[in-house]
Amino acid sequence: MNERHNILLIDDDERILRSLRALLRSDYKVKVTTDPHEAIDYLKKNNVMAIVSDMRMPIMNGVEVLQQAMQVSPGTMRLLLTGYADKESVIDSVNHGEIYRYINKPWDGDTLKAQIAEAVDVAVRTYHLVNIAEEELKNAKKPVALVLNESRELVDLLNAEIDDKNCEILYADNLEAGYEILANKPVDILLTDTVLADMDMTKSLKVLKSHYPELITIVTTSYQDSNLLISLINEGQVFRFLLKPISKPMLIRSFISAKTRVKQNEVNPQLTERNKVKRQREFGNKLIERLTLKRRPRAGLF
Amino acid sequence: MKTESITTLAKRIAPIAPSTLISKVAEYFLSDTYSEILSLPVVVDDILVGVISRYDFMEVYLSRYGRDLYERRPVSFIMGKSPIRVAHDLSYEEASDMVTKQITFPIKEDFIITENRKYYGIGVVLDLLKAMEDKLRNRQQELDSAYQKLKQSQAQLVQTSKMAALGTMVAGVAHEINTPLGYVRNNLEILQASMGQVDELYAGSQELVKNVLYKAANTEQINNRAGNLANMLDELEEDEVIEESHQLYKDSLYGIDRISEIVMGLKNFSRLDRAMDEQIDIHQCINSTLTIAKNVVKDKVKVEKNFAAELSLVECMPSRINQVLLNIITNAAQAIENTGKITITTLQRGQFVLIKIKDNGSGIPLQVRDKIFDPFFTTKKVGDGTGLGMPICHQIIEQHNGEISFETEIGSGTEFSIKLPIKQPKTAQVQVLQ
Repeated sequence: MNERHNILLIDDDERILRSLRALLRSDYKVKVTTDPHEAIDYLKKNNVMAIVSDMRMPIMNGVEVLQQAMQVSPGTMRLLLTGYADKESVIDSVNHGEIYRYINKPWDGDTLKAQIAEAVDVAVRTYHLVNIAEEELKNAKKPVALVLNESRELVDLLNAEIDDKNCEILYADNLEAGYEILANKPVDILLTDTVLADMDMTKSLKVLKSHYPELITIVTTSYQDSNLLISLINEGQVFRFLLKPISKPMLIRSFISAKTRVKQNEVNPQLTERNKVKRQREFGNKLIERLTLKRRPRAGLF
Repeated sequence: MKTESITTLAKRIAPIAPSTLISKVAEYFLSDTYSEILSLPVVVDDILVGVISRYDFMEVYLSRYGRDLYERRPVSFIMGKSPIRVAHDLSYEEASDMVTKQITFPIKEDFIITENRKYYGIGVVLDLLKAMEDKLRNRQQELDSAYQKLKQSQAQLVQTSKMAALGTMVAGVAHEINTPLGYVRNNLEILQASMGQVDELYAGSQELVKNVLYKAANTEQINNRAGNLANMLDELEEDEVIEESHQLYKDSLYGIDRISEIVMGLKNFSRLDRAMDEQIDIHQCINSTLTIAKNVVKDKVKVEKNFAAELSLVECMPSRINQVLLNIITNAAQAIENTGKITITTLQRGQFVLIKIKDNGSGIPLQVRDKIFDPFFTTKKVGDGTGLGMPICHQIIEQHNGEISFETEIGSGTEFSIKLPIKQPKTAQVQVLQ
């Protein structure tokens, strides 16, 4: 049997913890706690491959716990397990917690096990890679961003704020033009909406991410349906959600974080595994065929 | 509605000159052309200079020898020099104001409409009154329909706020049920898997017992079997499967109880009562509401119940009272920034029951206090609050012939007091609230 890795579970209901431990203890060294401070402390002192947190808890909510976890132990994969998903917590979990999976209670034992196994697997290979010195990022090449949106507004906003020596910003106002650019240019960052010309983009976003895990997506949305957003996390690993009306500082901050992420991934291509999602079938193939004809993933992983 | 000028009422009747003979005026008054009017305008070069009314004319003409004395004289001799003038650009209302100020009763004359002192036409007072009446009637209709629209949109807003309350409730209930559901389901899966180990052990023991009792195997075989069983037992022991199973069963039963508790709370909370004739236990209302409100409250707030040892049952509509309680408790929880406490006290005060809900939150700012019960007033983000929660609470308590009030202090919290009569007056019982 392989080495048993550390995982950490935090929930304010100890019955949940007992139950999860019973499910997972044969595969992992499971640490459970109802105390977020203890959880953070444990992360500091141990190499924990995955943390699974509840959302609603006294003292600290799940997003806060994961946000702190990200700081003290960036290599640990973060998962949220929650009984009720309101839109805000879903969006915060992505933007502040950069979570790997958002799981609803009640969960299915086998699915949860598989999700945790996947997370731990990725963490084992990338746990120490996440720490990249600022120095190393300097040599990374200039990221290319594509703004795919009916309005130029976001391009203008970005151009006004982002130094174009650091980044190339392309623009397409329709899907066709967007695909054309994606196929011909090494796009690193895609900034688009969940809806483009009345068309739902979520499926395309998932397909793109599943084939190009190195593609960082920032998605603006006015969707109210938290389930849809959750599916974009679990199957699309969206980097940031921006709720409309878009706050300019949020956009700029997200974009700068995205650029940093692109550079980190370039220095350590294996890091893209941390955002991998399942392959999307059906519709996906046609789209990808078109793109792969020309596009070469720069990471050279796939 | 656009303002109509008085000219629309003008009768464009030809005026007469001051030199017109009185005998001629008599003819005019008798002719069909002038049959509708009371006054004849007198003009010089279009400028209105006077008026002769039928009444004044008769007074002169019908007096003794009047006809003989005046017949050959010009009308200027007897005409009135100060007709009721109304400028042509006045509205009905303005004209009406002007006319009523000057007219004498009974109405003996018409008013004269002028355009820059020039004669324009004759206005009949009755026509003006009629027009004003029509206008009022129209306005009444407009008011009626505006009132209807307002009533409809209010009903819609009440519905919206009900839906908002329902949304809060659903969110709370979903979270509250999904948590126990999560571990109960998971526990059963694990217990089912453990059952496999137990099955193996059971089969092994059965075999061994048979072997021993019926001597169906030799000592070595029996020893082997026993050894296997011992290993299995060790494994179970080591994995603490039995111990764990007991705990998982216990937790699952607790979870099931928790779920039924929530469902019960939900049922009590949303009872579809329409009549006031129920004898309701306010403590039960508070408890059901707390179950529902748990998701808002639980994160950071401790709830302390300070219930009266004996509290009369109250004639009320429990779902409405629950709505009020949920609203106040939710607001209280939201007023608490980090950790805090909500104290719910009940008291018997003669024929009334008092409910006090106190939080140690941020308090209600001075400039907001007067607006708490105003419809559409909200301090929450757009979309988060309808601004109707508190006004509806107020309405509900009023419909129960009760009182709702609050005391608040910045930094130390707010206390809402609800006073409900134990008995409703007879008429209130048949009232069906929407």
